[in-house]
Amino acid sequence: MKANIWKVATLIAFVFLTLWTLLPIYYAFITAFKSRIEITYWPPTLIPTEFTSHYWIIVWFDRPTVAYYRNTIIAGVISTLVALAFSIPTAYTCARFSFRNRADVLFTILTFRFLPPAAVVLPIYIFLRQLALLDMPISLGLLYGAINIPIGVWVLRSYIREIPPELEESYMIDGYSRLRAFFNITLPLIRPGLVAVSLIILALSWGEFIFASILTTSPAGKTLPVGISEYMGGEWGYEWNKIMAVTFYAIIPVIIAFFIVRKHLARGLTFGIVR
Amino acid sequence: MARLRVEKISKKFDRERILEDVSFEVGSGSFSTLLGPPSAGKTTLLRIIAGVESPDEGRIILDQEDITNIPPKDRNIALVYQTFALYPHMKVYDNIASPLKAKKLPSAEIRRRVREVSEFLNIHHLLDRYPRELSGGEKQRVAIARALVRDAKIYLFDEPLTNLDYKLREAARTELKKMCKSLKVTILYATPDPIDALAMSDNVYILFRGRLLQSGPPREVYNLPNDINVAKVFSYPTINLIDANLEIRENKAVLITPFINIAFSTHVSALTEGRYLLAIRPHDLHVVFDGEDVSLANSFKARLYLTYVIGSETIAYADANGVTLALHLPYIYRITEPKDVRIFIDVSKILLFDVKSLKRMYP
Repeated sequence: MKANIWKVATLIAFVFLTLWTLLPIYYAFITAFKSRIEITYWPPTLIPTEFTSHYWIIVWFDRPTVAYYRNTIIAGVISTLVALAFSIPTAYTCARFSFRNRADVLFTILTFRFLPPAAVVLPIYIFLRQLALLDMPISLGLLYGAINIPIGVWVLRSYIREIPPELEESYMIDGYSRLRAFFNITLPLIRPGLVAVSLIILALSWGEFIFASILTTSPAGKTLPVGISEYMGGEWGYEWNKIMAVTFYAIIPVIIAFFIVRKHLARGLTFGIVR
Repeated sequence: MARLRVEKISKKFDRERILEDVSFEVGSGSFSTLLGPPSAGKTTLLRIIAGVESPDEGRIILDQEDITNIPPKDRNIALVYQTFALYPHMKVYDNIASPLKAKKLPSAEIRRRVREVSEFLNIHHLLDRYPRELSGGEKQRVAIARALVRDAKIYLFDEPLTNLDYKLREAARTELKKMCKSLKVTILYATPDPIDALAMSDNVYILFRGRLLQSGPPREVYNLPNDINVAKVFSYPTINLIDANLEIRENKAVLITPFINIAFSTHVSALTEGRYLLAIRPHDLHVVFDGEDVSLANSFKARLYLTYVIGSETIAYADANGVTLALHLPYIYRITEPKDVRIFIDVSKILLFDVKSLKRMYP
């Protein structure tokens, strides 16, 4: 009897969570099919009275959405590569070697992530302007990469610690250098962690707004989140149907990416929880 | 084949002393055992010899060459880990071939040698599997194959039998002994198990709390342990230790224990009166059965209260006037309830240790 109550409670919780996650997506999806008149209806309609695919098409042409897409991809990929390039060696060092103040170093790295973007965006703006790097997706990529190094370090460090050092040692005794042991033993074994971290950083960069909105100025330099905001409060007011259409286009690649690597991710995110 | 010399090796982790001034030499082509209880420093010593750990002090000499500061990849020393350390993402074949690939040998040669060693160890049918698909015994043989496939100067084994279950361990011990005898290579084998040392090795080194207490041929060390800790480490079941008092009565030495007084012949007159620790191995105590001479010299009354049979032998525990004694009987003997018996003590096997220095005083 008690078990049944738990089952029902779990089921209700799952239903609630599923609705909580999927309802906004559903609403975004159908709103993109609504006409300009219908998006203002009160109460809002959960199924459009009239479907129009007009806005799904027009968003590609009335603004440089293709450029937004390109910029977002460039920034996302560069940020992931930069963050991995710096966090893998840092994580390895912190996991495998003991040195003075190791815990402090790790915590300091983590605190960099706590910094509110608004606190640093202005100095970074001036910095990039002086270097003539404003309005470039590459700069955004480098910036996102730097911001996300702490996430990479902390997640990858725990992955590396799960790999027994004996494996690398044994490989070195076999006749390889430590570097070869790292590339041939450690790196392949932390692949789930690399996938998980890459995806987290890619997703964070993909949706980043504050830096992107201030550090980009020209229409062709903006990323998707900033591009979406361009539909807000302009001469046409809030164009919710276009906003929702672009939003949907924006989240599709992320969903596809998560779908492709979902096996790695499920193992990656739970890795180390159950031993 | 090579000679290995370990010279005054010391190592600390944080403040804890792991190894202290350890020196010994392993002869070319010999099978040597590093015997010590858990956390004696065996693994650290092997890691230092292999080069994955560096000593605070001391040198490692291999064939007259000081290799202390040479990285592990250039030492040509093989090490079999207690945990086997098989590369989980590589098939058995690639695991075994790993040291050969490091040397960039021609692939035909690699194939030939992997096939040879895997046939020798009877794992040739497993070459296409991943380590996770192997049983414990198979993993151990793959780990050994990865070492033996090399032309290493010396082969180090770190408790390769510990991670196997009991039955498998017996079989693996026999197999390993046969294999090592036929190979004619230099082997240094770390183990906490005195039976391993007695069964296989030419030489045994007793490591205890980071110090080398005694070394020599296993029989010699077994019969004449210099230190009480050597006697403890090198005995199964654990050697009996009894508080005893030595008194000189009418020019004869008499050893007083709670349950028996043993008169010593004159040649112990070198010993002074006073307290000693009497050590006697469980197999040097014998149960005297009914019908045998009850007035037998050097026998005493005791109450057997527990026996358990291991294979065809028996471990028994007895209480002799408040002192617990372990007996190792070479036959099957079961009791269902405590039983009064006479126990004969083989006086020629008695060892006496100093209570303070723990050094052997007799014989």
